[in-house]
Amino acid sequence: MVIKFLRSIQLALVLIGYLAVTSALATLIPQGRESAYYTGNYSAVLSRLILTFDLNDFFRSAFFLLPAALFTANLALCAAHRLAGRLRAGARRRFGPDLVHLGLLLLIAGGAVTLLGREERTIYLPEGYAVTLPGGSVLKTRALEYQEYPDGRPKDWLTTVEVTDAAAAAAAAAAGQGRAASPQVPAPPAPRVFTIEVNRPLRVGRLKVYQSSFHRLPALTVEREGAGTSTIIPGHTLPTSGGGQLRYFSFEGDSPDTQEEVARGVAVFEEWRGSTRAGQKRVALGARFEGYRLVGLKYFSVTGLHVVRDPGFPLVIAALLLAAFGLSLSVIQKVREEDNV
Amino acid sequence: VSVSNSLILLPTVAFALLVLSAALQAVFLLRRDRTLEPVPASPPRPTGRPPRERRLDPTPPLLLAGAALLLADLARRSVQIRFVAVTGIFESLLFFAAVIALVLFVYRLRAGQRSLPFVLFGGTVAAVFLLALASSPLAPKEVVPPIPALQSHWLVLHVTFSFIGEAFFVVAFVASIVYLAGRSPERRQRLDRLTYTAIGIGYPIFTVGALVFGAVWAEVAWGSWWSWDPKETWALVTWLVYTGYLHARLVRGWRGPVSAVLSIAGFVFTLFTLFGVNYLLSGLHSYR
Repeated sequence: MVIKFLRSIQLALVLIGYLAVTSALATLIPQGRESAYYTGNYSAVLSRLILTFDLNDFFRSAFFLLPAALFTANLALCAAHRLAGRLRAGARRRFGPDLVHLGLLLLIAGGAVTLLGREERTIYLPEGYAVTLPGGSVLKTRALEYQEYPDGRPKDWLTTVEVTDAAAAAAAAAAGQGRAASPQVPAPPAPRVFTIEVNRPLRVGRLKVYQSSFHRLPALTVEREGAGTSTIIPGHTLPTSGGGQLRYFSFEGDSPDTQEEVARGVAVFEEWRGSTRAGQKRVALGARFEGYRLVGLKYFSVTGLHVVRDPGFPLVIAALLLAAFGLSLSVIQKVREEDNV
Repeated sequence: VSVSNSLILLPTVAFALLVLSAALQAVFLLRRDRTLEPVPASPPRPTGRPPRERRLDPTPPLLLAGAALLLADLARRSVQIRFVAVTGIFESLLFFAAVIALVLFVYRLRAGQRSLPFVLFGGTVAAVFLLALASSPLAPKEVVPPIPALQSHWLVLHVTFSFIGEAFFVVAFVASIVYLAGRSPERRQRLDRLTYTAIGIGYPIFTVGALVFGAVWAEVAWGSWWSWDPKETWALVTWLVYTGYLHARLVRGWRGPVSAVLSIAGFVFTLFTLFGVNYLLSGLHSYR
């Protein structure tokens, strides 16, 4: 009786309706913001409703995941029942919907694997810098290029990198430490060179590296009296003699395309005491402030690369192919039916 | 011809042809004698009266010419930007209108005298409405090459297949409206059948285009095949509504007004996914 209910079309229709309506409503509420956003932008009743029912993170809440799990059970039982019935009856035709059902189940499985096993991080690298990826391979930026159309819109962001695979990187590291410097050991393979661009990610083992952003950052050279110079970029802080901090916020001035030293401009700092913002300080190039002197400023390019490992995606691709094949079969049958009318 | 006029010359002519087609269809719908013949003409019916001179139906050639002009303009824009021109809202509307005209043309040819004139008329009006929308300030007409995220052949497949599927949803929507307004049982049965077959064909094409190709493009562009972006979510909701329609029809045998209302609801969701999300909600698809 329970199984019959769980595989019933009535349950399927109710769940489809619920998922459709709640998903649509969830798009009307900005997702994933801090609680303060909702209390500040909605009435007391509405914000309490949003936060109580997890409508601010609806697609990870029990109100979505439990019905989705029930729908998965419904789909699985219905597909199994339908397929078993067809096999018993020896029916040869109309397997399209069965393949679609199986594809959807596989898709849900892929989604679950993605939800539980996906790893990602974004790295920001200037030209000539290297980073060790998860798994041990080393990625080093060779060249960064930003292309734009004549009207100023972005045309492409390209990051040329060289990738040393994990084994070669380990051998190189060991050689560097003098432990594997033997003439019998073959030289490690040359690094692979690849240009990453939007819609053209780099695959390194199970990882994929995507071009996600491109920045030109104004790097300030700051001299502290009696303590040498240092370079800071927006977001960095400088300690002050009064126990507070100066957070480098932005730079207003010349912005050349090249990496030449900038001659004129003003750096904007935020003054912080503990977690309280105490004010703003504007400092011209060459000026002294709080025991520091702004020596100079130079722009340099930074590429934002998104590194992703998604063990669920191969399952998703298989699921989509299966569902697409099943749907194609369904269409062919539908067209034939139409012809026979 | 000035630069701005040359940008919209072909779509304007296509618009005029489709308006003419809709107007002629309206005239024929208002006449009592609706015997129009597609090429070639079928044998006359034995009515006992002397056979009247048959008129050639201008609807199919006008639909075909309108679609051809719109596609020609898209081809011209594609050459200019060196990419398939379906990445802007103006181009998308042109493509959608062209596909609707083509679907109506094929339907008219295949159905012959059994075609349902109100459905053809409604579909033509929908194509005209889309072109009117394309001519509004909401759709910039400049020929501009795509930004990096849009330079993907997966995107082209995503957009074109989605619109082809949605063109069949237009036919289903109009048939459902006419069904609810109609009274003849025989005609309503044919409209119900047309709604069902149109969704039956459009649904898999829409699924492959909107969801499958969309997911692959998102994975290639951003490394995330699904993000619960508003456009993605609304496409999924639209898909769920049509899934509900087909299941209710196939498994529960739902027919008639409830089925027609579900088909209309599906198309309302389709329209919101297409336009409402772009202008009312922000997300990854906020390209104008």
